[in-house]
Amino acid sequence: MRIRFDLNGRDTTWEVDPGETLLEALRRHEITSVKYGCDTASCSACTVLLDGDPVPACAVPAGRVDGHAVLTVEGVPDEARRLGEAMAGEGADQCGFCSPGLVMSVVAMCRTSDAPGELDDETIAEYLAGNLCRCSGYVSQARAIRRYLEASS
Amino acid sequence: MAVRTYLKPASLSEAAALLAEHERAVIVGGGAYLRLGARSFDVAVDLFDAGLDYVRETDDGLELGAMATYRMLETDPAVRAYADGLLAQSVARIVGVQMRNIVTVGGTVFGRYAFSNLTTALLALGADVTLHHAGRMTLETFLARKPAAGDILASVTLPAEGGRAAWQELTRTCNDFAVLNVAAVRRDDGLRIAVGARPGMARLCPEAAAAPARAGETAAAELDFGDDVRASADYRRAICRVLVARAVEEVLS
Amino acid sequence: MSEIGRNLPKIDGVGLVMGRPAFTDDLAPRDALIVRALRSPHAFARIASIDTAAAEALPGVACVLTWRDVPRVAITRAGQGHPEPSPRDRFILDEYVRHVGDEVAIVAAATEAQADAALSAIEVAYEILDPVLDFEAAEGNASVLHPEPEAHENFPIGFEPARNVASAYTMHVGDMDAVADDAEVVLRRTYFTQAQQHVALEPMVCATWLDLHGRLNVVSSTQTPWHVRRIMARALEMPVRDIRVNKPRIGGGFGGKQMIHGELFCGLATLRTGRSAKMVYSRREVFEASNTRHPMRLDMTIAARRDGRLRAIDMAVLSDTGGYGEHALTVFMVAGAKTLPLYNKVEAVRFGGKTVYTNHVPGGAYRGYGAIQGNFALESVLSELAAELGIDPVRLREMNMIAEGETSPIFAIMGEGTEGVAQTVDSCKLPVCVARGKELVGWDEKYPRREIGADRVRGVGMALAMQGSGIPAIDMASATLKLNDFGSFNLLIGATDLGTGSDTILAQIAAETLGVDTGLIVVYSSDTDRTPFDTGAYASSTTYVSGHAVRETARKMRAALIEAGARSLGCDPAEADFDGEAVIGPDGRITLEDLSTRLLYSEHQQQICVTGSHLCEQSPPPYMAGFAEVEVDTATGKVDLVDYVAVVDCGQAINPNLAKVQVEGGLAQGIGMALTEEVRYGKRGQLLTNTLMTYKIPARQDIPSLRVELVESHEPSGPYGAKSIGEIGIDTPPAAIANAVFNAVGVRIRDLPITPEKVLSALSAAREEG
Repeated sequence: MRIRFDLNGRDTTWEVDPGETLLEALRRHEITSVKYGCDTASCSACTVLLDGDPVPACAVPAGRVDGHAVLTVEGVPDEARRLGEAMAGEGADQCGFCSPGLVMSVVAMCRTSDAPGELDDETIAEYLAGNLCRCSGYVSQARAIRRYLEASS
Repeated sequence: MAVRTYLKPASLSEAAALLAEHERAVIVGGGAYLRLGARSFDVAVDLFDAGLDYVRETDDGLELGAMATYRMLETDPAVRAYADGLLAQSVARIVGVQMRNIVTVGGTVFGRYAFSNLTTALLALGADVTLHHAGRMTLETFLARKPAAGDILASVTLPAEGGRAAWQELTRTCNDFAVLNVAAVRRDDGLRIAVGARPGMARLCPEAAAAPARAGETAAAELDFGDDVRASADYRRAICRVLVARAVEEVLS
Repeated sequence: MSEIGRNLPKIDGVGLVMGRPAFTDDLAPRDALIVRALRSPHAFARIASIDTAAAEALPGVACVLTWRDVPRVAITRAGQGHPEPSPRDRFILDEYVRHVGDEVAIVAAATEAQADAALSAIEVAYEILDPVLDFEAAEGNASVLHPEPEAHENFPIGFEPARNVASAYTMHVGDMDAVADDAEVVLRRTYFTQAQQHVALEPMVCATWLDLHGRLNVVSSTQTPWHVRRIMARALEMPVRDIRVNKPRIGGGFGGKQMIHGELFCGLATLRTGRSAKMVYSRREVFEASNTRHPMRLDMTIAARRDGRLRAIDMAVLSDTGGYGEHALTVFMVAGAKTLPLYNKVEAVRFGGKTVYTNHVPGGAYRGYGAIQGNFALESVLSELAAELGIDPVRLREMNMIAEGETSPIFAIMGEGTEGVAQTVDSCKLPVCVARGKELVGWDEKYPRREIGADRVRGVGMALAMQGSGIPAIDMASATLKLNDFGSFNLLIGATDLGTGSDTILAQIAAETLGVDTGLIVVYSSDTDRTPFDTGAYASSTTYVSGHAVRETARKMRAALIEAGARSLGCDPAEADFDGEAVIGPDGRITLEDLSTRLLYSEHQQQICVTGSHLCEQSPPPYMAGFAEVEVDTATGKVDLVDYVAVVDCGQAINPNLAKVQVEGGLAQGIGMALTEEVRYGKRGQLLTNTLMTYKIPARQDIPSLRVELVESHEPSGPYGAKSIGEIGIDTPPAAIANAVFNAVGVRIRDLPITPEKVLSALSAAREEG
């Protein structure tokens, strides 16, 4: 089936399988930043923004996005770079597999907050609770995100 | 999920017509368990664009459209203000915001999932369910029997009076399924206590509600519990006493 | 020192965060055949018949393989040195299946849907056998998992397959029984540690193809490229030189990828069809068909004087290695080898036991590698002794723990499946770790407990740990430095970066030795064709062993630069020096940029390219003290972590940020093992915890506070004084948390994980008694 949607700001038309997930369709079209990490939408490694809302791409049928807008890390290079630099500055960037999903979630968190620079650590941890990481123990990511928010505001 | 055709009808009645037309059709709710399904269907009907993702205050009460997401329940001011934000509390720790952006009221309620936090809260709130064909009924009635094939959940309605409410649950990790969940609601007409994830389906505890001073013990005695990978029946019974007592104490204070 | 101790950002960090293609599945050939495995639904069975005709006839199916279609050579899948200290008890595919999820057949098809259809079309008749699901009833069980005559050990490890014993070992120093008989106090306790899963976010993935020369190319998410190559060559009956293995970025390993997984299946599919192939494990397959931490029963006996001085320790272990024996002996040995030396002042010590086969998911390598299991038992029983004697548990450690300048006979006795290597502890800052940790957590104010409110009590508990740095006499690493025109270097290393940042820190070591900025070093790693050898990322060897090799190589490069520069300057090399920017002689200087360019194009042309190796000669332990503060809900038994403090002596930290994050990540995994992670089976041996919904790793809010400090220390045998950091972070939480729970509410949980149910049950029992 054919879907037509806004992908990272560009009007995009794809042929997808009716039963395909958004994750599968994205990776098939070389948007490889979106990762497969689990079977149960439990890890958030595949987080993309659908109409600005962070969603697990593995649990969204590809057909759903027809007529809607999808944003992946390829579509937010500036924020991704700055958050990446903040993470690298803390050593928080380890294997990198959870990172694109984390970036998209942080982007969504900032865009949906009136004052992202004023978010406290607890609120940030709550917002990012679904983003699993096995390498870092989370605390270095928190330090990096704090740096990023301070630098952005 | 193996499907031949994927459709996004623009309304509920269009969706119902599709179900009637195709024998092997399925409604795609949130989509959270897409990968786990081994069955194949001819037609997948996605309600995403059918205008059902709403929260409405009416004279009747608070109406939640079938495609209202958990995230909407957390962020909508009317839902947050209703009954001490019980609905928001019940869903706030489920997996993550990503999951809560796709899991829907209708998908949960229609699925009659025993593990569901939302169902427990809705039961305690005395919610009604409106099905497209079968019409409106109490949630209790709906949970008691499997809905007819081809029917679709349209909305969930909460009574106008929110009242006071308390939520208790025990999870292993912070965002896990509950080992046991409890919702207590106090209104003018009395107390309602619901316990879910027993691991069985959410149930009201009328005896416990009638004896608030001993609500914990009474609930533990009037309900039955089971073993599963998360906990044993004995443990569930033991913490039922505690969680119900805590919820009742909070809602009465 | 300018590059050592510098918090240099990881060279791959920003690219990874921005989602650039870097992982195996991002790089696999677009048209690769999809390889899938048909997996056994039974815990133990023989394949009585298997018919693949229908599957082979389906559209898009390129090949279907069963045990009859594949070479039959006994191997181990364990990524270890040659000859492996694990039994060779596997074949590519076998007639027997030994756990639910074990491979029955392999299909390769053009699409996932076609591969799945082929799986469904394979007809198998199983002769179902009685599974062995209780490791305490495995030895001598009528059901024998490995009756096949080809299975063998490479050297004596106590392999007795007829009795379901994969390995056996015992050692002693002094007379344990005599001392125990004589001692004023003797405690005997039994502890159980559970199977734990790695849950690296990236599952097992590999891709294979034949190149222009007909060689088999393998790209894999692996920790051990050379072992993968060698084992593939053996299993596929082809020369090692005809295989190339390359590791790209990998999404975590933690030991789970210190083993061959899909590479054999992909490789075979490619060899049979001539086409590229790839295999991506589903998360469920990672749970059911890769490997877990070895669950163990540890019977501890500890003999002491009333004043707290330890006299003897006995650790008797039964380890469940599941259906296959990968890493069975070596994990088992580390349970004692990397714990018991902590208390070296005893008169007697004994360690021994067996690893047994069961029809569970096979045990394998997992960070800590036995040390965490041993640590739980040892650090728990020590705290139990402290409670028995009325001595502060920290004081008990301080009285007995190993000190700098001392040794333990265990170093010489216990090695990697064989004897070890004697060593003196040249760096040990345990006293500082303990004192600083106490201070940070607030031990004196908080020990043992504080009532917080109705039903809520907080307690603190602690544990010490040690680990190793590489495997002496076995682990060898090497590096090559190549000088480029315009003054940069290529550093080619076999060492395997799992996301840990080893590419970066090894470049820092090279840069420091050369005297240049790390930015001039271009790193390429983990390619069996293009980089020199390294055993791989395990045994905490990368900084200590690979780092040494890099330093050695960089020294050679300095010497070569000075020699070439001196020739250019017309002076004796003995009179010249390199200051990082130029070679300086008595009468002039030539810049690195200039020299390197002339060497390729215009003057005394040669390619300067040097290689150095290092064999690990000893294994100096890193040390740490871990302190946990927990809050217990006494009505529900729920244990919440409030704070975890870790003070670590890893020698000189090459990159302190990266070292710290290694500890933080390890702590989180250890906390998961302590509180919530548990591999669980049903009655028929099926895995009940085969999704992330049922197997619970710590999520963000479960880790409210981790405070890690590194203590400055200098290990003379290490590159720039470094030891290691990769594993030790995981070791302390199970014991520290169990001790904290005891201190908070007086109940002692001796089997992991410490679930609310167990705590409440113990509290209720205590109330009934009291």
